[in-house]
Amino acid sequence: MSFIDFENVKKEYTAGDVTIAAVKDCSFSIEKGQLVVILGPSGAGKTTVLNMLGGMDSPSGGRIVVDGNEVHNYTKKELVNYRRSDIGFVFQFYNLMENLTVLENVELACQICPDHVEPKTVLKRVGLSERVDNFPAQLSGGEQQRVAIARAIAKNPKLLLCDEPTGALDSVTGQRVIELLQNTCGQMGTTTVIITHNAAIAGIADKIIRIKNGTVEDVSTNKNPKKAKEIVW
Amino acid sequence: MVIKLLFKNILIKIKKSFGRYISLFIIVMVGFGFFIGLNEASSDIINSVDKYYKAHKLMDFKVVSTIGLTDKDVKAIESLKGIQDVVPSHSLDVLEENKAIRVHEIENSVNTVKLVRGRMPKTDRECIADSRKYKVGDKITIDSDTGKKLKNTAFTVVGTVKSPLYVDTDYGNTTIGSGKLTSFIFVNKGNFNMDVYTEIYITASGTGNVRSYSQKYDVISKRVNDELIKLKPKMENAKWYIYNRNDAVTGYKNLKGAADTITSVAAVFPLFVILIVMLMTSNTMARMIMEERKEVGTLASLGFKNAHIILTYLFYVLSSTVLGTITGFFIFGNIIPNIIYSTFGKFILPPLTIQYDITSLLISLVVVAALMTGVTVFFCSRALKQQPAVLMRPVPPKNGQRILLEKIGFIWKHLSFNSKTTMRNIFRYKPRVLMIIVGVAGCTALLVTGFGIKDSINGIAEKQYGEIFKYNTLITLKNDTADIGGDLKGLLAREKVGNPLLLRQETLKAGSDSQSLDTYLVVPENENLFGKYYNLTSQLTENSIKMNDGGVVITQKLAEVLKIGRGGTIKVRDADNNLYSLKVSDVAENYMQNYIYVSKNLYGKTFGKDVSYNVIAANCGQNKDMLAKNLLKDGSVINVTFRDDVLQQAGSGNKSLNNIVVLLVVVASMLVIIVLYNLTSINMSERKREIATLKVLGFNDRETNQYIYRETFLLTLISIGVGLLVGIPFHRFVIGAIESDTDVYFKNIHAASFIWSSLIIMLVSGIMQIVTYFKIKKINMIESLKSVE
Repeated sequence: MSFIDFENVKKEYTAGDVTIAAVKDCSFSIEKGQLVVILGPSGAGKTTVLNMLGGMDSPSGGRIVVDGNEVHNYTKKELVNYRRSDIGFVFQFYNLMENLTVLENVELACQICPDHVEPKTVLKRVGLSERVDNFPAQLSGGEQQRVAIARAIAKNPKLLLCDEPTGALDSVTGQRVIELLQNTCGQMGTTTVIITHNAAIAGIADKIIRIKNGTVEDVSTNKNPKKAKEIVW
Repeated sequence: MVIKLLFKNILIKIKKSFGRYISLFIIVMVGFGFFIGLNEASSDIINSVDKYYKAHKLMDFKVVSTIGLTDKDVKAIESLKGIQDVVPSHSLDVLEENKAIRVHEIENSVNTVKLVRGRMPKTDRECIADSRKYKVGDKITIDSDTGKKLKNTAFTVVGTVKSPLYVDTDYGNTTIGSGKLTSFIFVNKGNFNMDVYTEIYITASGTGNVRSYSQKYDVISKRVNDELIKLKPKMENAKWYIYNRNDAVTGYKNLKGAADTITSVAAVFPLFVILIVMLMTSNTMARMIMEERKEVGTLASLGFKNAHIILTYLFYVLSSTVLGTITGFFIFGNIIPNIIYSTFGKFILPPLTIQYDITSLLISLVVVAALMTGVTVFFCSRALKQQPAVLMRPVPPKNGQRILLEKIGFIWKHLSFNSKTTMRNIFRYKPRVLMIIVGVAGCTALLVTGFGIKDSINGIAEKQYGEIFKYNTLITLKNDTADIGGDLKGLLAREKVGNPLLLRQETLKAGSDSQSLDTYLVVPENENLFGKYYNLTSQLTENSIKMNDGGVVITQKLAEVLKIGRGGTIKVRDADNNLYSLKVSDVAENYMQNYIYVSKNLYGKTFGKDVSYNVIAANCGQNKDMLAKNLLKDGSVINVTFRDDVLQQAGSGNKSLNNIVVLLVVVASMLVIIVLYNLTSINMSERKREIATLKVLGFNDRETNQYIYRETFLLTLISIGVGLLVGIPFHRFVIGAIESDTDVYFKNIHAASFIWSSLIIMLVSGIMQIVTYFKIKKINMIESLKSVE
């Protein structure tokens, strides 16, 4: 049994009389400590997969097992606890609290999570020691994404989920963010899943899952992942 | 074509955001409805009553005489200028089953009755009677000796009636029985067997065309009154008493007082209510335009004219607010006066007619339309000044910033993380903070005022007749006397009237011509005993006051209104218009009526005559009804007043006021609900993304709710504090406005009123917290976090 098992997962949305399957018969597995890239065009169902994996959404069918826990059977309350202690999320648009300083944004996540890392230590790790007292609006996009990553990993999550983390960034900045994620995964051993439509990023992954039309098209493993510095787009 | 398209867009908009449309509608309906309803209540009531008076030809004056009246008197009055109708009539106070009732003669041209059930009498053995006490078919038998003044002493009730002569459930005083009239009946003219008339009813010309209680009415009334007074000395060997409606119709004056109280209470509202309504509606509109900037941008980019886009929003807002105003006008303009009218239970009145004053509707509509147009045009034009491309992107969230408090390191450092974020959020959205404070503090102040009015008025009668006046019985003598001797002494001893204190009590006007107050002049015969019955405390030194021959003691209202202090001089005029000046030696604490206390030596010196006494104050322990009956039967006593009765009457007056207070509290609570609901939902919609982020981070619903609501709660607490403070001067202002020329209200608000006001607001705030809790539960993380490009 793998760290994460996605078995025949299905997600359907009903709008009026029409039922649309966003994800169907989707299966893959991820090992502990792996850096995984889920690759696919927009509308392929990547985000839906990530949402279900992160406990933001429940599948209409199939099984999702994370570290031996049957996430697909979780109640709403259990999902909250799952998100709270096991999951770290990073979004394309950072979703920082505009009214909190960098440090406070990290503290906000830590205060509900007993097993957290000292916020200042995490911020040092992402290279933002000098900016702890700034507000998000005073930071560049790349810096904001670093705060978001710091916020996610400060919770010491089992699983770090990143939804198009470089989507709003230029390539140089994006590359640095990817580098940070790769280092974090390597040094902290956090299982990391990155969603992207950018095939160039796939090079750094231990495992690449290609999704198309709501289902897994192909899974490949990378024996020698590239360093983030080596990729270009 | 364009217009048609936009119109379609409006309809879709209304359908899509029906909640907002309805919320605008409701805010305006409630706000303006209450405003109009309260403002109309008083005039609706006075108009209904006036119609009733006119329909039943209520007289303007009543003249009675010590020895009865004859056709000569009638002729004399008819010859006066400004008289329309003079009707001589009869009445007699009798006892029925030991209860005093008044028998009137049925008149057709004045004081006609309103038949409630049954028919008018056909024979002299039939009568029509008070519908509150009698039923058709009842038999009325007079037990007291009528001295053959009535042909029959037994009647069958064939009809029950209301009479404009009895507007109050307190029917007034009589000199028989226990001294209180309990009911009335009307009989045919032929029943009275008397040589003289007992009264003459006078209708002045012109009063039919003016509203009762109006200034115009008072002018006419005063003119005729002066004429009658001039005529008075010309009538031989009889003394005339002239009564206007205030004196002759029980409750006539009180009714006006009650309506005035409502007018002044209503006067407090408008500005405040309208302010809140305006704040809420403008805020809603501003928010709507902000939220729909993308659509505004799209329309602009498609080449629609700015005017057309603005017109869309104008139509949206005006249709809802104008409809709201009109609905409020017809619903609350009907409900509120009726609720208030129902508090007039102590009066006997016709059903209320609502007049729906179209002028006030039009004014309200103009105000609503102007303000809504202003706000909408302002926000629309501001949005449209930007390029369509800019408009199509969302407003960037407001940047965070340091607040002043953070500079005060020793406080900031000690705050918990939660307090810090709360404080920062509070200062982030300043306009909303301001609105919460204005709205909630305002409502709190309104509640404090409402409860405070109750505190101020309830209990003044107890204070006056329990703590200041210590006697429990006041006996009015028929003839003045120099001392208690002879028959009177015998009577008092026989009836065990303990410690009788003889007093001279007369009514005067104090002050100048431009400002005069009705006041009682009181001269005690025995100053030691006076000290026991009148517990006068100096308002200046708070010591108890002793009478002295150097000056008079006046009560506080006289001192306040006429601006006279110790050592000053008060001018008084007696009934014959003679002017006297009295030196003031002290000002006494006093709550009801105005009094000037004069020692008998000083009275002699000032008025140039010895004191003759007309009232006895005493403390009696025995059965009130028996005592009154026995005293009145003797003939030397014309009235007996007991403390209990005075207190009871004051109590029923307060009851109607208490209902007004309830109304005030309800309105204030509704307003605070509107304010908090509105601001909370705006807060939610503005911070949806923030809420979704918190949920993703694993905050449970309760924690998310706390994060979002904590600042509103803190602001509510602050606003309550502000409101309690503002409530104090506000209350004082209202009390100043509703205090009459005779009453002094307590200035203090009880602690309980502050507590209740706070609790009500907290309760509403608590309910709102539950509402947001469920709203937060409903927020979908995925939808809210969808990319925003």
